[in-house]
Amino acid sequence: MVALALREISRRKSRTLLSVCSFLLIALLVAAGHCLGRAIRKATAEPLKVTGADLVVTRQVRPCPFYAVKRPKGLGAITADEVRQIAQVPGVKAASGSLVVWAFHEGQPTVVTGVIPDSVKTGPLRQYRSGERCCVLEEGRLFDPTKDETVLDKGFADQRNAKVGDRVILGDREFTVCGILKVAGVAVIGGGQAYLPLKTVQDMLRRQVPEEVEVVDYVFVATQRADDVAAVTAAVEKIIGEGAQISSQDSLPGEISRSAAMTAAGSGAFVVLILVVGGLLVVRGALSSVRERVVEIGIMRALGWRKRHVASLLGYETVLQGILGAVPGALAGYVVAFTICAHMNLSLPASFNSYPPCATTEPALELTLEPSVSPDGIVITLLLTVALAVVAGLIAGRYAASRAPMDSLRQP
Amino acid sequence: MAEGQNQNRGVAQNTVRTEAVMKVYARTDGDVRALDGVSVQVAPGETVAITGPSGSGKSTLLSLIAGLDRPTSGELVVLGQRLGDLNEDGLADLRRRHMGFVFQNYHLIPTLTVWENVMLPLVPQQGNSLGLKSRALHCIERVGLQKRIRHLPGELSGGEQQRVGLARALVTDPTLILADEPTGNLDAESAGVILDLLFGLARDGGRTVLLTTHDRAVAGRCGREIRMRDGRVETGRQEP
Repeated sequence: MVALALREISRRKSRTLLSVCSFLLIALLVAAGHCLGRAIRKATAEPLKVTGADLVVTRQVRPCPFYAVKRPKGLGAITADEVRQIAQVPGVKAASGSLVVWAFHEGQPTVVTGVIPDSVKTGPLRQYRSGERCCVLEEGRLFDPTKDETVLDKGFADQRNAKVGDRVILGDREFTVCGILKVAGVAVIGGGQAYLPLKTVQDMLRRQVPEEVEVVDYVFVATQRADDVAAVTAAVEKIIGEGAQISSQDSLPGEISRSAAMTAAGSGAFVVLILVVGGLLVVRGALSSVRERVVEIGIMRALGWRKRHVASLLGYETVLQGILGAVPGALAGYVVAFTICAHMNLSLPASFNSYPPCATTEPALELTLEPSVSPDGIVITLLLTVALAVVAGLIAGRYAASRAPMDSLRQP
Repeated sequence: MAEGQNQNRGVAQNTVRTEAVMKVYARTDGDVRALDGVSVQVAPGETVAITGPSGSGKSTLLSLIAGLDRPTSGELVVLGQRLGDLNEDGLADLRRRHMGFVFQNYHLIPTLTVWENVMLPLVPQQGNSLGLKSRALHCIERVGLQKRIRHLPGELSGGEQQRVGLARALVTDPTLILADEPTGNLDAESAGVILDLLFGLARDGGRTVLLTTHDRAVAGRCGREIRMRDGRVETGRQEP
């Protein structure tokens, strides 16, 4: 039966080509959707991985007035008390804040991030490496909080031609460069051009805005378990109140763009949509093929083929076409996904851009899409496409077998 | 094995028996009575021609005997099986195991070669494929098409196509051969070849042949003739 099915499809070239192309397209879309979804999920998960947090909490407010040292546009203050409350939420393993400010000197702002020097397990200064991509202290060391020391972003240091041991002015104070932070290929949430101890930055801000005591504008929250994220998010929303923006691995794609969200979070739904629409087309094609072969089917029935024999033959034909389409379709899908990833520019949402428009260096917000050929993706694509072929074959076969042999033979 | 079957074929039980068979087709412009109380009997080994003008019900009777269609009323007993008692699968099995079909317009599958068309009735059959293949080859040799085995139907003449149809009808070693206007589309010479083959093969295997025709010459070569008109059996000619 399989041999006969193979011969039938090999001799009905145009019909087979059409059917194989349909399956190829379905497999292509499924594989590409799956691969893109994975790449986007991975890319959007990385910024949180860089900071070692499961949630990043900010408060969105209206821009504050100009000061020599000020919080970035739109970022609101989160008090130390609020950070403590967040740390006490059930399911929270650790919560630490950082303060990003714009420190002006001679009219030129520098984005300065204040971090807790003895706790770099979470936050923008956390050491991170994934292949060639990294956020690591390339030269020098972390700052000593008792001294006026700063760690500079490599791009900023290169631009200023600053080296370890040099002196730089940030806002109204001078600091010694003690380390150079290299950020390559990763997006850093709450990153800056210069890093200082949190207390130092809070002091710099308080001198300009006396009511802002011990405030931060980013809170990095690590949960005990992945399952705790939803409950912790709800609790943190209550603590922060109006303007709370809480980003997690699940919500980040949606904050980046609608299409990224759909591709990443909805890749399952996307695949289902492809299968439904593609399935309808394939079934329509299979039924149309059966209608063309009504007399043949009548001959088979007249020669003593049972209904299930006819259904099996048509089923085998469709499954073989499905396999013929699925294999190159899956490969083509990965090629398409890799091409899209190579040309797609995704970056963290604007709310994470703490840099002023006049900043001399670009913030590290670019997301790197790294598509990969996953065995499970290939298996899923092949299985789904072949399953679709089985369904189409069964429907077409049942339709073919349901006709009375005489009715089929009487067809003109 | 063939001889044993021939002995079985020799028993007195009729190969085909129809009792008051009626077939009515419901049409929007009124019912059409294709068969109106047809009762015929065909004994084993007989060659019977069903004749009559177009629309007389010849092909309808043949399709009912083959179990391709159900009668509106009446009873059909074919090869000892009451067709009304068989479901679709039972009818298909009966056709596959015991009947061979020859169609007026050959009804070969255009995408399959001569060999594949002849093998077609054997595809659903489980068993020794080598044995089945040698049987198919034997049938093709009997109709003289062993050199055209890899040809597609489109590459054959009408007479050759009908010979393929004949080989296909015989490949299951059937007891009963049903032929619907087997020479209707052929010239006189090709028709003669087909009839020689059909009757020769039927006689060698002790098979029963039931064919429809409106050709007096074809009917004349059969042992008996059942003449039909307006869905009824008009008269019959018995074998001398």
